[in-house]
Amino acid sequence: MTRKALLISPEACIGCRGCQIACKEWNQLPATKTINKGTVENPPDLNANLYNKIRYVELPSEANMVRWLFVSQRCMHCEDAGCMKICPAPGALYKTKEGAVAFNKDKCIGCKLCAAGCPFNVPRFDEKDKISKCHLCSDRITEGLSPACAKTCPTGAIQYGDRDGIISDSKKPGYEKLYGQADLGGLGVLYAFKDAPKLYGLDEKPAIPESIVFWHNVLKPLAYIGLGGAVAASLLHYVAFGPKKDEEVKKDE
Amino acid sequence: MNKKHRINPTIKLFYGVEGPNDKPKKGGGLPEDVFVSGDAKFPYVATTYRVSEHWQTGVLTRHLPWMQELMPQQFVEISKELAAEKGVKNGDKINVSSARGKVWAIAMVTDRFKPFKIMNSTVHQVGLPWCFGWQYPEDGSGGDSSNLLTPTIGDANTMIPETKAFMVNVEKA
Repeated sequence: MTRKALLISPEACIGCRGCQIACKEWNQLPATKTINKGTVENPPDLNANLYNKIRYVELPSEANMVRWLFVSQRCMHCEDAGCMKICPAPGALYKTKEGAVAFNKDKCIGCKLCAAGCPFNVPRFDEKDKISKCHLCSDRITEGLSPACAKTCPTGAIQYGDRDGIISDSKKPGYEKLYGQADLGGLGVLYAFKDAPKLYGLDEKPAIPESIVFWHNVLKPLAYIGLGGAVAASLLHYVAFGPKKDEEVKKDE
Repeated sequence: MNKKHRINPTIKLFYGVEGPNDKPKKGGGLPEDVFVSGDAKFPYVATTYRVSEHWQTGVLTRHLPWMQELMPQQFVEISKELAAEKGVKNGDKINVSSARGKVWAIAMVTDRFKPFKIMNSTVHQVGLPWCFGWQYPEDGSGGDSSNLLTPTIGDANTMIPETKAFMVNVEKA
Protein backbone atom coordinates (compact mmCIF):
# COMPACT_ATOMS: atom_id res chain seq x y z
CA MET A 1 0.00 0.00 0.00
CA THR A 2 1.42 3.40 -0.93
CA ARG A 3 1.59 5.99 1.77
CA LYS A 4 -1.33 8.44 1.71
CA ALA A 5 -1.20 12.08 2.73
CA LEU A 6 -3.16 15.31 3.00
CA LEU A 7 -2.04 18.46 1.25
CA ILE A 8 -3.20 21.64 2.98
CA SER A 9 -3.01 24.94 1.08
CA PRO A 10 -3.87 27.82 3.46
CA GLU A 11 -3.83 30.25 0.54
CA ALA A 12 -6.77 28.39 -1.03
CA CYS A 13 -8.72 28.14 2.24
CA ILE A 14 -11.73 30.44 2.67
CA GLY A 15 -12.12 29.73 6.39
CA CYS A 16 -15.60 28.19 6.13
CA ARG A 17 -14.65 25.51 8.67
CA GLY A 18 -16.65 22.85 6.87
CA CYS A 19 -13.77 20.47 7.62
CA GLN A 20 -14.02 21.16 11.33
CA ILE A 21 -17.68 20.14 11.31
CA ALA A 22 -17.32 17.26 8.83
CA CYS A 23 -14.70 15.82 11.18
CA LYS A 24 -17.08 16.07 14.12
CA GLU A 25 -19.86 14.55 12.07
CA TRP A 26 -17.89 11.50 10.92
CA ASN A 27 -16.29 10.89 14.30
CA GLN A 28 -19.56 11.64 16.16
CA LEU A 29 -18.03 14.20 18.46
CA PRO A 30 -20.28 16.48 20.53
CA ALA A 31 -20.01 20.28 20.53
CA THR A 32 -18.50 22.23 23.39
CA LYS A 33 -20.03 25.40 24.79
CA THR A 34 -17.95 28.35 23.64
CA ILE A 35 -17.95 32.13 23.84
CA ASN A 36 -16.62 34.72 21.44
CA LYS A 37 -13.24 35.97 22.61
CA GLY A 38 -12.74 38.62 19.99
CA THR A 39 -11.83 36.22 17.19
CA VAL A 40 -13.63 34.02 14.71
CA GLU A 41 -11.43 31.12 15.83
CA ASN A 42 -13.52 28.80 17.97
CA PRO A 43 -13.13 26.61 20.04
CA PRO A 44 -9.91 28.26 21.24
CA ASP A 45 -7.87 25.05 21.16
CA LEU A 46 -7.99 21.42 20.08
CA ASN A 47 -9.81 19.26 22.61
CA ALA A 48 -10.93 15.66 23.08
CA ASN A 49 -13.93 16.39 20.85
CA LEU A 50 -12.09 18.46 18.27
CA TYR A 51 -9.54 16.68 16.09
CA ASN A 52 -9.16 19.39 13.46
CA LYS A 53 -9.24 23.12 14.05
CA ILE A 54 -8.77 26.08 11.74
CA ARG A 55 -6.33 28.60 13.15
CA TYR A 56 -6.95 32.20 12.05
CA VAL A 57 -3.86 34.35 11.63
CA GLU A 58 -4.25 38.00 10.74
CA LEU A 59 -1.10 39.54 9.30
CA PRO A 60 -0.29 43.07 8.22
CA SER A 61 0.37 43.12 4.50
CA GLU A 62 1.69 45.72 2.08
CA ALA A 63 -0.09 44.43 -0.98
CA ASN A 64 -3.49 44.05 0.66
CA MET A 65 -5.32 45.90 3.40
CA VAL A 66 -5.24 42.70 5.40
CA ARG A 67 -3.82 39.24 5.06
CA TRP A 68 -5.84 36.58 6.83
CA LEU A 69 -4.49 33.05 6.90
CA PHE A 70 -6.51 29.96 7.74
CA VAL A 71 -4.43 26.98 8.79
CA SER A 72 -5.76 23.54 9.65
CA GLN A 73 -4.26 22.37 12.93
CA ARG A 74 -4.29 18.62 13.60
CA CYS A 75 -2.19 15.45 13.92
CA MET A 76 0.53 15.43 11.25
CA HIS A 77 0.84 11.63 11.01
CA CYS A 78 4.66 11.69 11.21
CA GLU A 79 6.59 8.80 9.74
CA ASP A 80 8.90 9.00 12.75
CA ALA A 81 6.15 9.60 15.32
CA GLY A 82 7.25 10.79 18.78
CA CYS A 83 3.97 9.68 20.35
CA MET A 84 4.43 6.10 19.15
CA LYS A 85 8.04 6.12 20.28
CA ILE A 86 7.20 6.91 23.87
CA CYS A 87 3.86 5.08 24.19
CA PRO A 88 4.29 2.22 26.67
CA ALA A 89 0.97 0.53 25.85
CA PRO A 90 1.27 -1.81 22.85
CA GLY A 91 -1.46 -1.19 20.28
CA ALA A 92 -2.74 2.05 21.81
CA LEU A 93 -1.13 4.01 18.98
CA TYR A 94 -0.52 2.23 15.70
CA LYS A 95 0.31 2.90 12.07
CA THR A 96 -2.24 1.93 9.47
CA LYS A 97 -1.02 0.61 6.14
CA GLU A 98 -1.83 4.02 4.63
CA GLY A 99 0.63 5.66 7.02
CA ALA A 100 -1.90 7.21 9.40
CA VAL A 101 -1.15 7.26 13.13
CA ALA A 102 -4.37 5.87 14.57
CA PHE A 103 -5.32 5.08 18.16
CA ASN A 104 -7.22 2.45 20.08
CA LYS A 105 -8.90 3.84 23.18
CA ASP A 106 -9.39 0.35 24.65
CA LYS A 107 -5.63 -0.18 24.78
CA CYS A 108 -4.70 3.34 25.92
CA ILE A 109 -3.67 3.41 29.58
CA GLY A 110 -4.05 7.19 29.95
CA CYS A 111 -0.45 7.93 30.90
CA LYS A 112 -0.37 11.01 28.60
CA LEU A 113 3.26 10.41 27.63
CA CYS A 114 2.34 10.85 23.95
CA ALA A 115 1.57 14.53 24.62
CA ALA A 116 5.17 14.95 25.76
CA GLY A 117 6.47 13.16 22.69
CA CYS A 118 4.48 15.18 20.17
CA PRO A 119 6.35 18.06 18.47
CA PHE A 120 3.06 19.65 17.37
CA ASN A 121 1.14 19.63 20.68
CA VAL A 122 -1.67 17.52 19.26
CA PRO A 123 -2.78 14.70 21.63
CA ARG A 124 -5.78 15.58 23.80
CA PHE A 125 -7.47 13.39 26.39
CA ASP A 126 -11.12 12.65 27.04
CA GLU A 127 -12.83 12.48 30.43
CA LYS A 128 -11.38 8.96 30.96
CA ASP A 129 -7.88 10.28 30.09
CA LYS A 130 -7.84 8.30 26.83
CA ILE A 131 -6.08 9.74 23.79
CA SER A 132 -8.16 11.65 21.22
CA LYS A 133 -6.73 13.06 18.00
CA CYS A 134 -7.04 13.06 14.24
CA HIS A 135 -6.56 9.54 12.86
CA LEU A 136 -6.82 10.57 9.19
CA CYS A 137 -10.30 8.96 9.22
CA SER A 138 -8.54 5.57 9.32
CA ASP A 139 -11.95 3.88 9.16
CA ARG A 140 -12.72 5.69 5.89
CA ILE A 141 -9.36 5.45 4.14
CA THR A 142 -9.10 1.67 4.60
CA GLU A 143 -12.31 1.49 2.54
CA GLY A 144 -10.80 3.68 -0.18
CA LEU A 145 -12.70 6.84 0.84
CA SER A 146 -11.04 10.17 1.46
CA PRO A 147 -11.02 11.65 4.98
CA ALA A 148 -14.14 13.62 5.93
CA CYS A 149 -12.29 16.97 5.95
CA ALA A 150 -10.86 16.50 2.44
CA LYS A 151 -14.21 15.22 1.19
CA THR A 152 -16.10 18.30 2.39
CA CYS A 153 -13.55 21.00 1.49
CA PRO A 154 -15.19 23.18 -1.20
CA THR A 155 -12.02 24.88 -2.47
CA GLY A 156 -9.53 22.02 -2.54
CA ALA A 157 -7.54 23.56 0.29
CA ILE A 158 -7.41 20.06 1.81
CA GLN A 159 -6.49 17.41 -0.74
CA TYR A 160 -6.03 13.72 -0.13
CA GLY A 161 -4.09 11.22 -2.19
CA ASP A 162 -0.91 9.20 -2.64
CA ARG A 163 1.87 11.01 -0.85
CA ASP A 164 4.27 10.94 -3.79
CA GLY A 165 1.62 12.16 -6.23
CA ILE A 166 0.62 14.99 -3.91
CA ILE A 167 4.21 16.13 -3.56
CA SER A 168 4.81 16.27 -7.31
CA ASP A 169 1.41 17.94 -7.96
CA SER A 170 1.98 20.65 -5.36
CA LYS A 171 5.16 22.05 -6.90
CA LYS A 172 3.76 25.21 -8.40
CA PRO A 173 5.43 28.63 -8.74
CA GLY A 174 5.46 30.29 -5.33
CA TYR A 175 4.95 27.00 -3.52
CA GLU A 176 8.30 25.31 -4.11
CA LYS A 177 8.86 24.48 -0.46
CA LEU A 178 6.50 21.95 0.99
CA TYR A 179 6.28 21.91 4.76
CA GLY A 180 6.72 18.44 6.17
CA GLN A 181 8.19 16.80 3.08
CA ALA A 182 11.30 15.67 4.94
CA ASP A 183 10.67 16.59 8.59
CA LEU A 184 10.36 13.72 11.07
CA GLY A 185 10.83 11.15 8.35
CA GLY A 186 8.16 12.89 6.27
CA LEU A 187 4.79 14.09 7.58
CA GLY A 188 1.49 12.61 6.47
CA VAL A 189 0.01 16.12 6.43
CA LEU A 190 1.85 18.45 4.07
CA TYR A 191 1.47 22.21 3.92
CA ALA A 192 1.96 24.35 0.81
CA PHE A 193 3.16 27.55 2.45
CA LYS A 194 3.98 30.73 0.58
CA ASP A 195 5.94 32.21 3.48
CA ALA A 196 7.87 31.10 6.54
CA PRO A 197 6.04 28.37 8.48
CA LYS A 198 6.29 30.57 11.58
CA LEU A 199 3.73 32.99 10.12
CA TYR A 200 1.27 30.12 9.85
CA GLY A 201 1.87 29.12 13.47
CA LEU A 202 4.15 26.13 12.85
CA ASP A 203 7.72 25.42 13.88
CA GLU A 204 10.41 25.93 11.27
CA LYS A 205 12.13 22.69 12.24
CA PRO A 206 9.78 20.39 14.12
CA ALA A 207 11.60 17.79 16.20
CA ILE A 208 10.76 15.21 18.81
CA PRO A 209 11.97 16.42 22.25
CA GLU A 210 15.48 15.09 22.92
CA SER A 211 14.47 13.55 26.23
CA ILE A 212 12.00 11.35 24.33
CA VAL A 213 14.66 10.24 21.86
CA PHE A 214 16.97 9.48 24.78
CA TRP A 215 14.22 7.55 26.53
CA HIS A 216 13.41 5.50 23.47
CA ASN A 217 16.90 4.84 22.13
CA VAL A 218 18.94 4.54 25.34
CA LEU A 219 16.90 4.13 28.51
CA LYS A 220 14.28 1.74 27.19
CA PRO A 221 16.84 -0.81 25.80
CA LEU A 222 18.82 -0.39 29.01
CA ALA A 223 15.71 -1.17 31.03
CA TYR A 224 15.17 -4.33 28.99
CA ILE A 225 18.81 -5.31 29.53
CA GLY A 226 18.36 -4.64 33.23
CA LEU A 227 15.18 -6.71 33.35
CA GLY A 228 16.81 -9.57 31.46
CA GLY A 229 19.88 -9.30 33.68
CA ALA A 230 17.79 -9.56 36.83
CA VAL A 231 16.02 -12.65 35.53
CA ALA A 232 19.33 -14.22 34.43
CA ALA A 233 20.97 -13.44 37.78
CA SER A 234 18.13 -15.02 39.75
CA LEU A 235 18.26 -18.12 37.52
CA LEU A 236 21.99 -18.34 38.03
CA HIS A 237 21.50 -18.02 41.76
CA TYR A 238 18.92 -20.82 41.70
CA VAL A 239 21.27 -23.12 39.81
CA ALA A 240 24.29 -22.30 41.96
CA PHE A 241 22.70 -22.22 45.41
CA GLY A 242 19.35 -23.96 44.98
CA PRO A 243 15.97 -22.67 46.20
CA LYS A 244 15.81 -20.47 49.24
CA LYS A 245 14.83 -22.36 52.38
CA ASP A 246 12.81 -20.62 55.05
CA GLU A 247 14.63 -21.63 58.23
CA GLU A 248 12.51 -19.54 60.60
CA VAL A 249 9.36 -21.42 59.63
CA LYS A 250 11.08 -24.78 60.06
CA LYS A 251 12.10 -23.94 63.61
CA ASP A 252 8.50 -23.12 64.52
CA GLU A 253 7.37 -26.54 63.32
CA MET B 1 -25.89 69.74 -0.99
CA ASN B 2 -29.16 71.24 0.01
CA LYS B 3 -29.29 71.57 3.79
CA LYS B 4 -32.89 70.42 3.79
CA HIS B 5 -31.74 67.03 2.70
CA ARG B 6 -30.38 65.18 5.70
CA ILE B 7 -30.50 61.89 3.81
CA ASN B 8 -30.37 60.79 0.20
CA PRO B 9 -33.30 62.65 -1.42
CA THR B 10 -34.03 59.85 -3.84
CA ILE B 11 -34.37 57.21 -1.14
CA LYS B 12 -37.70 55.51 -0.59
CA LEU B 13 -39.30 56.69 2.65
CA PHE B 14 -42.06 54.41 3.79
CA TYR B 15 -43.81 56.98 6.03
CA GLY B 16 -43.77 60.76 5.57
CA VAL B 17 -42.83 63.45 8.11
CA GLU B 18 -41.68 67.05 7.85
CA GLY B 19 -40.46 67.87 11.39
CA PRO B 20 -38.79 65.86 14.15
CA ASN B 21 -41.98 65.83 16.23
CA ASP B 22 -44.37 64.99 13.40
CA LYS B 23 -46.40 61.82 13.41
CA PRO B 24 -45.54 59.50 10.50
CA LYS B 25 -47.62 59.85 7.38
CA LYS B 26 -47.74 58.09 4.06
CA GLY B 27 -44.81 58.57 1.69
CA GLY B 28 -42.08 59.59 4.14
CA GLY B 29 -39.89 58.21 6.93
CA LEU B 30 -40.03 57.95 10.70
CA PRO B 31 -38.39 60.91 12.53
CA GLU B 32 -35.62 58.66 13.86
CA ASP B 33 -34.82 57.55 10.33
CA VAL B 34 -34.81 61.00 8.74
CA PHE B 35 -33.69 63.48 11.37
CA VAL B 36 -31.18 61.42 13.34
CA SER B 37 -29.11 60.59 10.27
CA GLY B 38 -25.98 62.71 10.46
CA ASP B 39 -26.63 63.45 14.15
CA ALA B 40 -23.59 63.85 16.38
CA LYS B 41 -25.08 61.27 18.78
CA PHE B 42 -24.50 58.57 16.16
CA PRO B 43 -21.16 59.36 14.53
CA TYR B 44 -20.13 55.99 13.10
CA VAL B 45 -21.18 54.24 9.92
CA ALA B 46 -22.39 50.69 10.48
CA THR B 47 -22.96 47.84 8.11
CA THR B 48 -24.46 44.40 8.60
CA TYR B 49 -23.65 41.02 7.16
CA ARG B 50 -24.03 37.27 7.56
CA VAL B 51 -21.52 34.66 8.64
CA SER B 52 -21.06 31.37 6.81
CA GLU B 53 -21.82 29.42 10.00
CA HIS B 54 -25.42 30.63 10.28
CA TRP B 55 -28.21 30.71 7.72
CA GLN B 56 -29.85 34.15 7.41
CA THR B 57 -31.07 35.24 10.87
CA GLY B 58 -29.71 31.99 12.29
CA VAL B 59 -33.15 30.70 13.30
CA LEU B 60 -32.51 27.48 11.37
CA THR B 61 -28.90 27.01 12.52
CA ARG B 62 -28.60 28.48 16.01
CA HIS B 63 -30.09 25.39 17.63
CA LEU B 64 -27.35 23.21 16.09
CA PRO B 65 -24.66 22.78 18.77
CA TRP B 66 -21.86 22.41 16.20
CA MET B 67 -22.76 25.73 14.59
CA GLN B 68 -23.13 27.39 17.98
CA GLU B 69 -19.68 26.17 18.91
CA LEU B 70 -18.16 27.90 15.87
CA MET B 71 -20.10 31.15 16.10
CA PRO B 72 -21.59 31.51 19.58
CA GLN B 73 -22.15 35.23 20.11
CA GLN B 74 -22.98 38.52 18.45
CA PHE B 75 -19.82 40.42 17.59
CA VAL B 76 -18.92 43.80 16.16
CA GLU B 77 -15.81 44.33 14.08
CA ILE B 78 -14.12 47.68 14.71
CA SER B 79 -10.87 49.20 13.54
CA LYS B 80 -7.82 49.43 15.78
CA GLU B 81 -8.02 53.21 15.51
CA LEU B 82 -11.60 53.40 16.79
CA ALA B 83 -10.85 50.84 19.50
CA ALA B 84 -7.96 52.97 20.75
CA GLU B 85 -10.17 56.06 20.70
CA LYS B 86 -12.87 54.30 22.72
CA GLY B 87 -10.53 52.36 25.02
CA VAL B 88 -11.96 49.07 23.80
CA LYS B 89 -9.89 45.91 23.87
CA ASN B 90 -10.34 42.81 21.73
CA GLY B 91 -13.04 40.61 23.29
CA ASP B 92 -14.66 43.40 25.34
CA LYS B 93 -18.43 43.57 25.48
CA ILE B 94 -19.61 46.82 23.91
CA ASN B 95 -22.94 48.46 23.15
CA VAL B 96 -23.88 49.47 19.63
CA SER B 97 -26.82 51.87 19.48
CA SER B 98 -28.74 53.67 16.77
CA ALA B 99 -31.77 55.93 16.89
CA ARG B 100 -33.88 52.79 16.69
CA GLY B 101 -32.33 50.48 19.22
CA LYS B 102 -29.38 49.07 21.06
CA VAL B 103 -27.59 45.71 21.03
CA TRP B 104 -24.53 44.42 22.85
CA ALA B 105 -21.76 42.68 20.98
CA ILE B 106 -18.27 41.32 21.54
CA ALA B 107 -15.64 43.64 20.06
CA MET B 108 -13.35 42.19 17.41
CA VAL B 109 -10.56 44.71 17.02
CA THR B 110 -9.12 44.13 13.58
CA ASP B 111 -7.20 45.45 10.59
CA ARG B 112 -10.06 44.30 8.40
CA PHE B 113 -11.83 47.58 9.18
CA LYS B 114 -10.02 50.83 8.44
CA PRO B 115 -11.24 54.38 9.03
CA PHE B 116 -12.26 56.28 5.89
CA LYS B 117 -10.92 59.71 5.02
CA ILE B 118 -13.97 61.58 3.70
CA MET B 119 -13.78 65.32 2.90
CA ASN B 120 -10.79 65.73 5.23
CA SER B 121 -12.48 64.13 8.20
CA THR B 122 -12.03 60.64 9.58
CA VAL B 123 -15.12 58.47 9.44
CA HIS B 124 -15.12 55.18 11.30
CA GLN B 125 -17.02 52.15 10.16
CA VAL B 126 -18.17 49.20 12.24
CA GLY B 127 -19.74 45.96 11.08
CA LEU B 128 -21.87 43.38 12.81
CA PRO B 129 -23.85 40.29 11.74
CA TRP B 130 -27.57 39.87 12.13
CA CYS B 131 -27.66 36.11 12.71
CA PHE B 132 -28.38 36.21 16.45
CA GLY B 133 -31.47 36.85 18.52
CA TRP B 134 -34.69 35.04 19.19
CA GLN B 135 -34.85 31.76 21.14
CA TYR B 136 -31.40 30.17 20.63
CA PRO B 137 -29.07 29.82 22.46
CA GLU B 138 -31.60 29.21 25.19
CA ASP B 139 -29.59 30.93 27.93
CA GLY B 140 -29.60 34.17 25.93
CA SER B 141 -25.80 34.25 25.69
CA GLY B 142 -25.91 34.85 21.94
CA GLY B 143 -27.07 38.45 22.00
CA ASP B 144 -29.54 40.22 19.73
CA SER B 145 -29.83 40.77 16.01
CA SER B 146 -28.32 43.91 14.52
CA ASN B 147 -31.64 44.29 12.67
CA LEU B 148 -32.78 46.11 15.81
CA LEU B 149 -30.55 48.99 14.71
CA THR B 150 -31.39 49.31 11.02
CA PRO B 151 -33.66 52.04 9.57
CA THR B 152 -36.85 51.36 7.61
CA ILE B 153 -35.75 53.13 4.48
CA GLY B 154 -35.88 51.73 0.95
CA ASP B 155 -32.87 51.85 -1.34
CA ALA B 156 -33.36 54.52 -4.04
CA ASN B 157 -33.04 52.09 -6.93
CA THR B 158 -34.49 48.85 -5.70
CA MET B 159 -36.58 49.79 -2.62
CA ILE B 160 -34.81 47.00 -0.74
CA PRO B 161 -34.69 48.06 2.94
CA GLU B 162 -31.39 49.86 3.47
CA THR B 163 -29.78 47.68 6.15
CA LYS B 164 -26.23 47.92 4.87
CA ALA B 165 -25.42 51.54 5.70
CA PHE B 166 -26.69 53.43 8.75
CA MET B 167 -25.41 55.50 11.66
CA VAL B 168 -24.61 54.15 15.12
CA ASN B 169 -22.74 54.93 18.28
CA VAL B 170 -20.34 52.54 19.98
CA GLU B 171 -19.52 52.57 23.68
CA LYS B 172 -18.15 50.26 26.33
CA ALA B 173 -20.87 48.20 28.01
